[in-house]
Amino acid sequence: MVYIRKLRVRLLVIFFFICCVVNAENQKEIALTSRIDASSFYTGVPFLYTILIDGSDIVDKPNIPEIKHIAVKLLNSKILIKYKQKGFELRYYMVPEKDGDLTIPPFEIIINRKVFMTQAHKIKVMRPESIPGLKISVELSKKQCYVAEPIEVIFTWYSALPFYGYRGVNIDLPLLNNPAFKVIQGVNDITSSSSNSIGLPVSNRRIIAKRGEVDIDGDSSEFLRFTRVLIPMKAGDFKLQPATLLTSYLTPKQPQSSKKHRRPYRPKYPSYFNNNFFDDIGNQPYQRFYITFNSPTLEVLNIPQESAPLDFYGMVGKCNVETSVKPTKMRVGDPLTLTIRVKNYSFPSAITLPPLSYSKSFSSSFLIPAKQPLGALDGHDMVFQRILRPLRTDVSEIPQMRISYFDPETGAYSATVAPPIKIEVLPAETATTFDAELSGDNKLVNKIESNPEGIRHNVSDPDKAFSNNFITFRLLFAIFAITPPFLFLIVLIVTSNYRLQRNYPIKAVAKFAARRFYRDINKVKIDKNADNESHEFEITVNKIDNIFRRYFSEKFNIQPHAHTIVDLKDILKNSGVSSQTVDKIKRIYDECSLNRYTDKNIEGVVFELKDSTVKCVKYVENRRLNA
Amino acid sequence: MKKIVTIILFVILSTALCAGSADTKLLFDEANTLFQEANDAALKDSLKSQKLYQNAALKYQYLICMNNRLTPVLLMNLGNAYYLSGDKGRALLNYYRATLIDPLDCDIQHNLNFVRSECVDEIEYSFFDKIMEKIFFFHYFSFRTRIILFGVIYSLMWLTLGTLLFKKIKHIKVTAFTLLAISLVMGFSIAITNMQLFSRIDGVITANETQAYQGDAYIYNAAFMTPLHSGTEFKLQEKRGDWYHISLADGNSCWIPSQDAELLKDF
Repeated sequence: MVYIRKLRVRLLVIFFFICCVVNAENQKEIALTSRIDASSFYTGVPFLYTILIDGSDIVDKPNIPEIKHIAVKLLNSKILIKYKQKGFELRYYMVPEKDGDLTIPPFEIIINRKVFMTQAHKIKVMRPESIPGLKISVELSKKQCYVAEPIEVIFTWYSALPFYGYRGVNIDLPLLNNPAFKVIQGVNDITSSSSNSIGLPVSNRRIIAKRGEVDIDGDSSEFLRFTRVLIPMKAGDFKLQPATLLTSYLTPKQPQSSKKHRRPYRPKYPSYFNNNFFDDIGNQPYQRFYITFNSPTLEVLNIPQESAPLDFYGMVGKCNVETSVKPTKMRVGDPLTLTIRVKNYSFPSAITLPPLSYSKSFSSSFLIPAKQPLGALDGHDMVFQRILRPLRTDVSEIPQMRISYFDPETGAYSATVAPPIKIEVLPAETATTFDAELSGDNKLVNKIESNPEGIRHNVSDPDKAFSNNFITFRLLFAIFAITPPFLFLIVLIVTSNYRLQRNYPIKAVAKFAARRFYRDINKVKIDKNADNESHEFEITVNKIDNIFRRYFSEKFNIQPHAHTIVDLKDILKNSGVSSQTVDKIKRIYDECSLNRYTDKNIEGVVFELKDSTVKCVKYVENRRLNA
Repeated sequence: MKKIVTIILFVILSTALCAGSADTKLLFDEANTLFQEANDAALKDSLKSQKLYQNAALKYQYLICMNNRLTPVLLMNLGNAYYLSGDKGRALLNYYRATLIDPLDCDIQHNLNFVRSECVDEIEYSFFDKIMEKIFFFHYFSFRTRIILFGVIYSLMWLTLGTLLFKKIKHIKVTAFTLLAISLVMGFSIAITNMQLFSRIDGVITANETQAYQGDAYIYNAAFMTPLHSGTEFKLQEKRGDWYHISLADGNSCWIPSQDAELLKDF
C-alpha cells in the first residue's frame, strides 16, 4: 500500500516536470526583425521589405497601414523551418512615390496570440535625373480591336547619349506580363545574328532590339526598338500600365564626338552580350535616370457570337488557305503529308490550326495521329504539315480545308476554302504485324468496347415518332410491384391444401371431411323398386352409416367405428352444436345400428336417413367446427 | 335532311383529319430528309450542313409546337438537330424535355449525358452533395438500372417468401428480410427521383455565352469571374421583367437576361 502511494507521488512529480518542460518550450522567446536592402532609393524603384519571425510560425498576416508616399504590396509569406527551429517570413514589395526622407512606420504583428511591433525604418528617396533626348515610347498599331485580333506593339528607347554609356538598365513593360493579353514574337523581329541587333533587359527577360539613328528636332539621336504581337484575350477598355526605364549612365572617359565613335561596339559577339546594359556600376561616379511613358489605351471589342459559323475556332483577320498533298497515290494505312499553307495574314506567327481530328470529314476517312508538328513560318506564310493515313480504299479525296475567320474590317464572319484534292487509295498489300497476329495460335482477339462519345441516331419511322405508346416508367414500376405479389398469392392459394396436408395432416383431413362426405353420399343410390328381401336396403344403410361415421371421425379426429354417440355427444356439445342436432345425430346412429340387430323393415327409414345425414353435416359445417 | 348534313359533316371532318395526318407525316419526312442531307454535307461542307441541321430543327419544332405532337422521339430528333447545328444549350433542353416524358429511353439518356459532358461550365457540387453521393451511391445509378434492380430484388424477395411457405429455414428468413430492406430502399430512391423529375432543373442557358449579374440590371457587378455558357442547368428562383434569378447546382445564385436561357416548361 505504501509502495503504491509512493509510486503515485513519483508519477505526479514526473507529470509536473513534463508539463514544465512543455510550457518552457512554448514560452521560448520569439524574435522579430524587419529589414530593407539599403537606406537610399530612387523614386519608382521598387525595393524589398522583409519581416523575419524567429521562434514561431503561428502568425496572423498583418494589415500594414497605408504608408505615405510608399506603395506596398505583399509579395509572399512562408514558414521557415531550420534545425527544428520554427520561423516565418513576410516579404513586401515597396515603391517610393516621392523623393525626400520617408519613414516606414512600425506596425503590429500578432504572433502566437501576442502582439509584436516591427522597427521603424528611415529611407532616403532621390529623384532620378531626366535629360532631354532620353525617352521611351510604346505605340500600338490600333486603338480599337477585337478579342483575339493580333495587333502590333512597338517599343522604342530614344537617347541623345550614346548607348554604350548605359549600365544597370531596367526596363519595365507591364504589358508583357498582363494576363489580359497574349504576347508573341512577330515575323519581322530582328534576330540575334543581325548586325544592328542588341540584347535589352525588359521585365526580367532579354529581348533582341534593333539599333538605329534618327533626327529628332534637328538633333541626332540613337534608338533601340523591338516589336511584339499582342493578342487581347478578353474584351474591355484597357489603359495599359506605363512603361518605365531606370538606368545609370557612366560618362565615358574619352568624349566621343563623332558619329563613328559613338558606336564603338560592333557585334563581335552574339547580340545578347554586345552591350553593357546588364553590367553593375561598381564604385564609379554615375548619373541615375528614370523615365516613364504615358500609358496607351486600347479598346477591345467582343466578337459577335450570333452568326459565328460552327467551325469558327477564334481566328480574327483575313487570310487565305492552300493545301497540297504528297503522295497522291498510296495504300490503305500508308502515311501522306498534307501541307496547309495559310497566306496573307497580317501576323502569321499568331496563326494556330485546330486538330484535323475535330473535323468529321477528316476523322471519318483518315487516321490522324494526335501528335503533329507545330506550324512553321515560311516567309510571310504559316505552314502546317499534317500526317494522315487513309482508312479505306473508298477514300477518294482529301476533303476541302476550310478556315473560318472573323474579318475585323467588315465586322462579319467569312471563310477561306482550299478545294478537295483527289487521291487514290489502293488496298494494303503487305501483311502487318497486326494482320499476322489475327491468325495463328496466339491470335489477337478484337475486344469490342462501346464508345460513350457522340449522340445516337435520329428516329425516322413516323409510327414510332408520333407514338406515345411507350412503356412509361410508372407502368414498368407498377408491373414490377404488382406481378411478384400476385404470383405469390396464386402460389399461396394453389399450394394451401398441399401445405396443410404436409404440415397439419389432421386439420387437412378435417377440412376435407365434408367434401368427401358429400362426394360419397351422392354416390349412394337408393332403388325404390328394390326387394326388401334382397338386403339391398341394409347394405345402403350400412353405407350411409360408414360415410356418416367417417365424416365425424375425420372431422374430430376419432376412430370411425370405435366411437359411440356418447363420445361424439361430448365433442359436439363442447363445439357448440345444439342439443337438437346432437339428438338428430343420435337418432341417425341408432337407426343405422338398428339395422344390424333387428329384421325390422327399414325401407321407409333409408330415404329419410340419407337426407338427415346431409342436413346434419351441413349444420355442423356451418358451425365451422374443426378438430 | 339531318342525315345528309351529318354525313357531309362526317366526310368533311374525316377528310380534314386525314389531310392533317398526311401533312404531319410529310413535314416529318421533310425534316428527316433535311437531317439526312445535313449528315451527308457534314463531311464536305460544314457551313452548309449547319444550315441544313438548323432547317431540320425548325421543321421538328414546327411539328412539335404547331401540330401539338409532343413525343419523346420527336424531342430527341429536335435535340439531335440542335446539337449537330452547334446549339448545345437547346439540344440539352430538348433532351431534358424528352426525358420528362420517357425517362427510361436509353438513347435519350445517352444523348443527354453526352451533351451534358460537353458543356463548358463545370459546376462543382457542394460538399454535402458529394457526401450524399458516396453514401447513397445507388441513387445515382441510371433511372432504368434502378427500376430493373428494384424489379429483380423485389421479385427475389417474393420468391424467398414463396420458398418460406414450403421450408421454414432461418437463412431464408434473413435473406427475405434483407431483400425486403433493399427493395424498400430502391423503391424510395425511385419515388424520390419520380418526385424530382419535374423539379430538378427548371431551365438551361441557351446563349453561347452570357454574363451573370448580381442583380436584375446591367449596372450590377458580374456574379462570377467568367461568363456562363450554353448548356448550364439552373433552377429558377424568380422571374422579374426580362431577368431570371437562377441558382446553379453548387448553390450559387445570380441573375441572367431571360433571352439567354429557356425554361423546360416553355413549350
